[in-house]
Amino acid sequence: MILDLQNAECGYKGQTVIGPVSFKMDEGDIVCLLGPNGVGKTTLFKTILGFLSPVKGDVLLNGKSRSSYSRKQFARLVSFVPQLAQTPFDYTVFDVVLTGCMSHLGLLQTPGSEDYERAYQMIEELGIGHLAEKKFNEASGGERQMTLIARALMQDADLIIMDEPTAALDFGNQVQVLNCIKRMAQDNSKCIFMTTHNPDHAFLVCNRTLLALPNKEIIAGEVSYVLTEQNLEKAYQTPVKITEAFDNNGDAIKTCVPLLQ
Amino acid sequence: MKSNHTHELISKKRAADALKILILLVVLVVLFIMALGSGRTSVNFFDVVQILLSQFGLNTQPIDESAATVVNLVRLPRIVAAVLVGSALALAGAAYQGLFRNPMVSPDILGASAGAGFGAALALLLDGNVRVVQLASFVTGFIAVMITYVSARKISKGIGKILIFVLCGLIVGTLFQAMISAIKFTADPDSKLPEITYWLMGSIAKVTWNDILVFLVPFLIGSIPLLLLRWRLNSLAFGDVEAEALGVNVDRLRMINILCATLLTSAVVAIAGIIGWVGLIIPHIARFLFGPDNRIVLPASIVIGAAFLVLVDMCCRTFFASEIPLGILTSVVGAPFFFIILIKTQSEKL
Repeated sequence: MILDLQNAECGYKGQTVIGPVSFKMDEGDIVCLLGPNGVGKTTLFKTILGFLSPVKGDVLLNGKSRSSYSRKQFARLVSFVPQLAQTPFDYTVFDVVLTGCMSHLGLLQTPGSEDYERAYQMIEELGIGHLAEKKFNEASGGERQMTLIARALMQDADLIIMDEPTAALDFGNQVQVLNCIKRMAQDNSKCIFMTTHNPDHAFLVCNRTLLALPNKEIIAGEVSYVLTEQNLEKAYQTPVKITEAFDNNGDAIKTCVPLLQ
Repeated sequence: MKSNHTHELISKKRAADALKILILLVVLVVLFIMALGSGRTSVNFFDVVQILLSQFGLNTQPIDESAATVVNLVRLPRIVAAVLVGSALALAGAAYQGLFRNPMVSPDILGASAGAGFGAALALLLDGNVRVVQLASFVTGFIAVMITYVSARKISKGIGKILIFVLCGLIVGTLFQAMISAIKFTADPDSKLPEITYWLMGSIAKVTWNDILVFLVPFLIGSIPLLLLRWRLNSLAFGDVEAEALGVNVDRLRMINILCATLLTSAVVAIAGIIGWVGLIIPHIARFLFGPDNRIVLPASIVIGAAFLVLVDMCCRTFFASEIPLGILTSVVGAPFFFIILIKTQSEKL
């Protein structure tokens, strides 16, 4: 079991903000965290990333708690894809991807030809090879997101945590990132935990979902069990309908439509 | 196929960087020799080379003894000091800019210069000899930064650490500036006040070989760790949280960098007074030439900083009838340059 939350309550200074929640993640799992703004999604997120200790319960990585790992050991198990941001310096896409091998090098080591090779390979696999020398700040939202994903893959951790990877992207780029997430789970046996504001994304790529409600409670389980009309209405305080579309193989894909008043 | 293309691009860039560094080193050596030759007694470029070679017993041709005296005894220590001071300030500046993710940061951001200036002013007021002045300025420079560091660590809670560090540096720096003014106010306006004022303006005119030997200790202790850890600074580009997630111990990295950069800055003030702007503008030139990767920005800053200060010092000695303090000219050159940087960064945003 890569990630194992056991009745974990997350919060600050002994005050529970969100939880308790229990769920497990293993190779190939994609878990989505949904919920309205301000219910403590970030708090849960930071707890899994090891920046906060759980107020109650346990957050275990490979069966051990965060405190038994050093920063570096932890980074080899868990990588983080943050929300899109700019840097004050003009790093190239390649420079950014290369920093992903930080946790695999000693304190005084700098990346060698093997690390360079791996970085080339990552950006090629993600289809951004032609951007290697482009300035990160000047790349489009989708390109920057793919760069940060390449950096996370460079880090070579089993668990990848993604903070709203599809926010701020256009429709096409959203789909591209979702495809990439699915491939990472299927082909590279990564285990992916992501937040999103779009229930459809959970239907598309996730095999399990967490839904945070305004009352600290978290509903966890199979996507179709968690994302029901009633639960979504409870979470977002707005009526929704869930309907189905069919892909080219005739398989049903659920989709969520809000009802305007 | 495609991968080879990327590969090629990057190895080309590496070769270009190596060439640029080589050119900069040649420029530094040429400036160094020119600086040795220029001044009130002018010595021909090639005569300077011969004088330097004969120092190492490599020259068999006869040399002008009086010119050799001027070059070896009067100018050489001063210009070696220019090289060391310029590279120390530029390196500290580059490290701080990477560390604080802010290209507008200079080595005295945490109060090092103001603190060191206070120590020197106090020692001068109390009739301390040269070594006492140097030691006092070094120690107080260090104390000022430690006050900033400890208070910032205590006050900041995770988010916004950098802003807190900069604000604490501002507070401590201003406090020490006020104490410098208080010392100036009490100093005898006929003897002590001008001495303190000139000292604070920054000059390497009176640097001796002994000063340089003393300076070399903090210079090496400060610069070696900065150079060894320079790639790690790249991880801070997106912020502390991301650097931590990449597996970097940010607090430790920050502490080591602040300690080393402070060591360099305080040591500079101790032998040369306050020389502004070098640590701010040189890293910009380095990034302009080489891009933002700190693996190349830090060593490049050392070379460019050294060349810059040798050049400015040469101007101080030759352009005007009487020599002007180095700190004045670095500011005169630095201020307009900074304007250009501001305009350039703003126009890039549009």
